[in-house]
Amino acid sequence: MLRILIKPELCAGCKNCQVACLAEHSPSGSVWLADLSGGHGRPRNSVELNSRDLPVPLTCRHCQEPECVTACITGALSKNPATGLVEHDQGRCAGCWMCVMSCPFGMISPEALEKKTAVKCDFCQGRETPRCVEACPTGAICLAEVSPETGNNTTPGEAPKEEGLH
Amino acid sequence: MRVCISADQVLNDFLAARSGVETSFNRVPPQAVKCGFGMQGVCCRLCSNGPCRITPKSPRGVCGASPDTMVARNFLRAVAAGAACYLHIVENAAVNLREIGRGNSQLPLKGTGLLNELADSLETGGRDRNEKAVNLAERVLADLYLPRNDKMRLVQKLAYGPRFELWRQGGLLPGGAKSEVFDALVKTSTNLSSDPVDMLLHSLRLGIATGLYGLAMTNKINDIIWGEPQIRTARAGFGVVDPDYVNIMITGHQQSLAGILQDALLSPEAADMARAAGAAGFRIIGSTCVGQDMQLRAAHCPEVFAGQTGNNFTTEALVATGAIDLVVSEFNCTLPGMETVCRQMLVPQICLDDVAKKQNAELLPFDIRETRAIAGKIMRGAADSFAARRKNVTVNVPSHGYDDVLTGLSEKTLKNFLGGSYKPLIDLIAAGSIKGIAAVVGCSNLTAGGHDIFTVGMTRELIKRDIIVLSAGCTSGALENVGLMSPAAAELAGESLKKVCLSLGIPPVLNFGPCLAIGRLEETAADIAAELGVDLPKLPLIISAPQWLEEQALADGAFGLALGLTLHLAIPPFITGSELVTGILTKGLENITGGRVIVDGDINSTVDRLEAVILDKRAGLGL
Amino acid sequence: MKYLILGASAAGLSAVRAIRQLDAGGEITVLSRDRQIYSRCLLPEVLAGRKDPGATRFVPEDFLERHGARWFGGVEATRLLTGEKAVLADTGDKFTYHRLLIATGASSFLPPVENIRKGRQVYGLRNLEDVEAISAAAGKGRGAVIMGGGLVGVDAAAALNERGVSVTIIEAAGHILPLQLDRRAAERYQHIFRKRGMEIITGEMVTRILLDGDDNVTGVELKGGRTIPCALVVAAAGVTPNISLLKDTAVETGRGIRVDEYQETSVADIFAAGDVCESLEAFTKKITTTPIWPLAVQQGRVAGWNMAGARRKPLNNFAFRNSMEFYGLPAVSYGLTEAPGPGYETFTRESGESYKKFILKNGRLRGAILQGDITGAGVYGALIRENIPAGATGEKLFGLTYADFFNQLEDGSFIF
Repeated sequence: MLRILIKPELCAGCKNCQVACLAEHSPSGSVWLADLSGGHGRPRNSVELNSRDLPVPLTCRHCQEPECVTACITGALSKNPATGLVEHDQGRCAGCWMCVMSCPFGMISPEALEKKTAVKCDFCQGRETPRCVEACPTGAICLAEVSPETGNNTTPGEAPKEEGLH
Repeated sequence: MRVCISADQVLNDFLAARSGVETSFNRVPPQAVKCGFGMQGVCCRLCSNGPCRITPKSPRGVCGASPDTMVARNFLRAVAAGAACYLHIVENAAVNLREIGRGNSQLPLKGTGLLNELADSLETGGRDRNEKAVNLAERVLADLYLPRNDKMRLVQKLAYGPRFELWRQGGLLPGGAKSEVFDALVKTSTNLSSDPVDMLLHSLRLGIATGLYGLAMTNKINDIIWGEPQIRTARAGFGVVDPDYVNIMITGHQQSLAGILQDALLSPEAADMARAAGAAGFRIIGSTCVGQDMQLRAAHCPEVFAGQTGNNFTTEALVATGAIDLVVSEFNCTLPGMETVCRQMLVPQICLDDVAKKQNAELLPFDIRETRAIAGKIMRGAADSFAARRKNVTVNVPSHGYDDVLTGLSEKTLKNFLGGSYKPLIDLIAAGSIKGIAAVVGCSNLTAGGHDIFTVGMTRELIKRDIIVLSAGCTSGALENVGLMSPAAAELAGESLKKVCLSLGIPPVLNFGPCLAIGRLEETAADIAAELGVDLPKLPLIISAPQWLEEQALADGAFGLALGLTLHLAIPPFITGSELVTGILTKGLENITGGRVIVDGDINSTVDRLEAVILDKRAGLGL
Repeated sequence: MKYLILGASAAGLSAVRAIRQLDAGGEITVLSRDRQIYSRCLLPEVLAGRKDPGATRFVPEDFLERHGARWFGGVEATRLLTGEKAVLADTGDKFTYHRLLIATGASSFLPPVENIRKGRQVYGLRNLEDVEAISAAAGKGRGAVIMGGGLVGVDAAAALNERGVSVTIIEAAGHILPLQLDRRAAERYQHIFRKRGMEIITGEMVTRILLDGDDNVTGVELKGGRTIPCALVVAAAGVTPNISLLKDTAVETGRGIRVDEYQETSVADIFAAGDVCESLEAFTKKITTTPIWPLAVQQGRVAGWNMAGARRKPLNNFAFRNSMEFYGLPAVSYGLTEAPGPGYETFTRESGESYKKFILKNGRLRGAILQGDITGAGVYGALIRENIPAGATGEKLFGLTYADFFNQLEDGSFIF
């Protein structure tokens, strides 16, 4: 499975990943035309300063055992068994914010314009390389092939691949 | 990563074969990731609270600057810098003309006919040619140095009448050109102007100063010094380089500096020096706009000027042929990357103007009183280089270019070619044989599809639709190297344009030469408009700087907008972060000057839109 | 292996999925009182008229089919026969099992109020049938009284208000949502509700439901003596686990069915999960019911895995978290809402729509409320749940993000 790895030590804080994300999810798809002032919503990734004031790019992990999926009351969130991606069906989303409450990393948020549904990283659906990875000039955000067997093992006693209720 | 490609296939093949040479073409892929904030013009580095960038979570700078303010400031700064470049060129040219007039230089004046005309039309006067030269130069310099609240005096005489009136009423008449640049810097500094509209109007004033002085006046002065253009057929492309000669490549925009080589290289001393070095003689290898300028006036130096090789982004490749022995630069389009190739190919560099000082070049500060000594040093350097390097480098000049490029077109030569009036051209347009005119101008860049890809693709499509193309700038280098400025290109034009071209023996793309000749295009347009008795925005004419590269192009563009023309760009000028600025430049401005910007990165849709503008303007004229 | 699952909501269906992950061939049977599969959390949406009942299904249409499970809807388990490992249903049928999961959920708790069982228009908001009944009664006018200003009560109130029903909330505490929010955050909602025409009476309780001769509800009488006319009452005073089928069995119960960390009850091969059970809660470290959706899903999953033979514990059992949104104002809260005594530091910040509050003890977060701007809330939740030092205090608390705790495993997973 392809995953986005983050190397904060390479991050220059340029936020180009955010511009790229915004562009990808804007009507034109163009970095020239994406409304950076918020008219096209917010990027789904972020660059935040850590306690030492160093920039850290952050984006959804598509967890092995996604807490957002566990918390979803409508079935809008699901883990795709084929790709391992955590997908969000905006049409089913009720805007209950259980996912926002549950993601320990803060990677799913209310959509900034309508504020009716949640939005999260969709791995640039169908795109070979996610835009943020493509836009990162330093390699701080990069793609890596990750084996599904070496899961996200925060559970003592080991958990198998979790696909949510979908 | 795939290397950048050119519309020029021979160039592609040549670069592919020279894998040991790194050029700009190689550096495009590793620079493919662009900063989105820079692209949209919403990164502000004006103070230490920054750099501030606009995002949905940070919609204003720390100081409170809106994206509109940021974009307008960045835009005005860029236009000011571009204007400054052209004003530097005209200043040097005027100083040289003045010094020649004062008898401080042995250079002759080869265009005294024009000098006499201008002494009358601009009312600068003078008893003889020398005094006329001094007077004209001093009047130009005086205007450049006026404070900003003093309007430049020659504007009224240089500008097309209806435009001057509109500018006067709109408060767009520029004060002293250098002061306009100066105050643009003041205006855009930290926590000064926040008014996007005022800054855009300032850009238009800079555009006017650029166009009438930086472009048009530079052309006139160079015509006076080096001789007026004459229509002729010339060779263009790398093929003009003959390895048997000591080849001095020139890059820049100032024929008033580089031109000193023209006669010097023909002297008996030069012949001896070349022979002693083992060469057949000296040749000037034209490159970038100064080469275009020399090509335009090559009738006055046919023996020593080998021809024009190409534009800004062919310079590295030209050095890589190994046949260049010295690079003389006096202005921009002298890429830093050329230095590496020069080192590799053992080519020394000389700069004549410290504004374009290259790191590994020797600076020979230009002085019009010392032209012989300077030319002598250049010759010496070139001959020594030839003798030293030729045994150590491989020379490989590809078979490239065309030997039947029509050159030497200008506001006057075109008119004369048509029989002394634009009436025949207007008749052809009225009859629909020529649908309209597209001025394809400006630079070349490597991002609008690749090197000259958009320029060449768009031009092909324009002529196919019976729109005649006039070119000025690096676009000329692009279009002549792919054959579009040779008469045979008529075959690529639409049926009616083709017929016109064949009957006149001209290509469908007319070569006005360097970017400075955008000034000539303006005069041509004004002449046509005058003949029709209309203002410029009424003409079925559009201007496109599809592959604009640099700040100078933005100053040119501002001139085009002040003229009321529809200006196409394939790449946005870093403004899209502001709805207001984008809105004014692409729509609102039409109500002020008649001009507007069309940004379109797709060739077919661009040509559709430009054709629609032309048809619309034809309809406006009742055609 | 024969698996029997009682209940087809979050916990029950989560168990189905988990069992199938580990046991491809076992026989899975699901009984549910519900005749259709739906998300209880979406009932207020249905009541408000924003969603059709059919749109509340939280699993794909073919979920049970795809997981090879038989489902008997509208079938209620009435008695558990531990000896013969069987369950009797109200249909008279008997279902046997090797492993049993009780995920029967909970019912609305009816507080000891006079006439509460007699009144014909007294409802909980727990089942689709409740929604239908409330809708029918609400159509008759004269308003509704909501007994209890907790999440369910406020949900019901907002939904009815949206339908144009005049609503009164009666809450015993000093403000609504007393378990989820502090006074300030609650007041911000109360302000909005009142502007929308709702009446909110706090520090009061209903002592009697007023009925007409046909036992139709005509109003309520409050402890303070005031009477409020209404046509229906929604009882939203909490829930009580559905454990009546365990009568006369050895399955240990408290308020709910007592389970261990593997969701197993005191009787072998019998598991429980979701609202019906009580377990060791992570925040309070106490045995308590944990009636929130994410834990029902998680407990169902853990139960399923263990029923299928694995020995797996849950990720955590953190019940003190809530999310909500009323009239466009969202809120998320975790842990404490007020400092319970000395030794705690409280930090609040309010600007515009946003209100945030953090309660710190010994450098660790014990409570967080985010109202208005809830982006990134989960990080605070994780700090509370995992009892991780916040590494910040004062103003810096308000800007914590996962960047402050960044730790990435080789496969790209984040951990704290």
